[in-house]
Amino acid sequence: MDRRKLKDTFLGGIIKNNPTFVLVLGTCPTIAMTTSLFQAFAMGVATMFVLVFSNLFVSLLRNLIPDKVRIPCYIVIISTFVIIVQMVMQRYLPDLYSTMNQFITLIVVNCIILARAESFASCNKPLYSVVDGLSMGLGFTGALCLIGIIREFFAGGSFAGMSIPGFPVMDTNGAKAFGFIVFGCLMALFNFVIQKLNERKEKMKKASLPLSDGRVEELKEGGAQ
Amino acid sequence: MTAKVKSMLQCILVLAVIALASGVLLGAVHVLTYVDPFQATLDFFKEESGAEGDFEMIVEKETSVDGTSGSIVYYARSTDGVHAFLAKGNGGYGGERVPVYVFIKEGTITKVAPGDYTQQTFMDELEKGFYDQFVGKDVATLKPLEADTVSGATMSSTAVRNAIDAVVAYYNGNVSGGESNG
Repeated sequence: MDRRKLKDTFLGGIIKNNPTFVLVLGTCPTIAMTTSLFQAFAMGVATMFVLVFSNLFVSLLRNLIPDKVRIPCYIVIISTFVIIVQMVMQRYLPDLYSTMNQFITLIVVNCIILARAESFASCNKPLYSVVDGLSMGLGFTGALCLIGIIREFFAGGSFAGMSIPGFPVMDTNGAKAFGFIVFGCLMALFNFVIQKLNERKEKMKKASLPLSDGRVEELKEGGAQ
Repeated sequence: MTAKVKSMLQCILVLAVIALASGVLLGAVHVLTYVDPFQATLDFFKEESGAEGDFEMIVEKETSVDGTSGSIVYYARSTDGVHAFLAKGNGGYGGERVPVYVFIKEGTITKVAPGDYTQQTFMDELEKGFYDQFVGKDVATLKPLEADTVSGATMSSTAVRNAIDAVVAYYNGNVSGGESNG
């Protein structure tokens, strides 16, 4: 077990390869299901469940599934877990199920899940695939919750279902447009922060590289002329 | 057997095994999560009506009510005299039939509640007092079709009126003095 790879895989889906803000995958449920924090959280958890288990089974069966039928096999595996989510939700959370039903069904064709099955789980061991599913799921849930909090607060005048007295509520069309604006702004902010972090990391890496004459790069760039 | 046929058979076999395993898993989850619709309806009736006695299902197959544009899906009666109906009214948005729960005790409507209907926006409009106008009314003299429809949810409110009309007609025609003939 490579601990470094595990750590990189885990952090990758949450920050560096965040499915919503960096890879820009699964935008349909991102816009549709983030009108409230609770809905966003439920959608994120449902997707995470499907991601983890579909990644696990695709990885376990990766040497048995012939290349020609890999996509139909992945779809069967993914849809199985989506239907399980539907059944459990219908039984234990009927109210939530009635509002989210259509979008839960659409998880089958969610590009995050199919992309991870195809690009990661099909060529990695089960443990790494589960960690990847968990990481991508957490990244997706986090992104949805963040958008959900902002949209619910500014467009719906409430927080986590509790209405804020006197706070203006947007009309339906305004709230939809606001959703796109929030998504775009958060995506820009997220990528800006990641870019800055990468630049800083690169700078630090450069600074620690020794030059041919024994000095370090920092000296060359700084006031040592 | 040629390599091509072998490869094809392998593909079919793998896909079939995965589909079979998936079916078995889904079957197991279905057994664990299945809810009997009759029992669920009876539980809902008890919870919504606040009746203390248990409900007995009297109509468990959808029945059209003559002279109305609605039907009775379920009708149950509790041991302490609460009559609970799930009725559907014709004429909802897009031709959809609108389900409504109606509870009657001692000839008076005690509660009207919306059923599962896909046009939630319209139902939210009706929540603002449309159902309450029927509560406390004497079933023998009530004329639901005379109630005003709701602007912005005209079709849905018409369908709800039709459903309540079906309940009133059924109650007056088949249930007299709390005794059911149905």
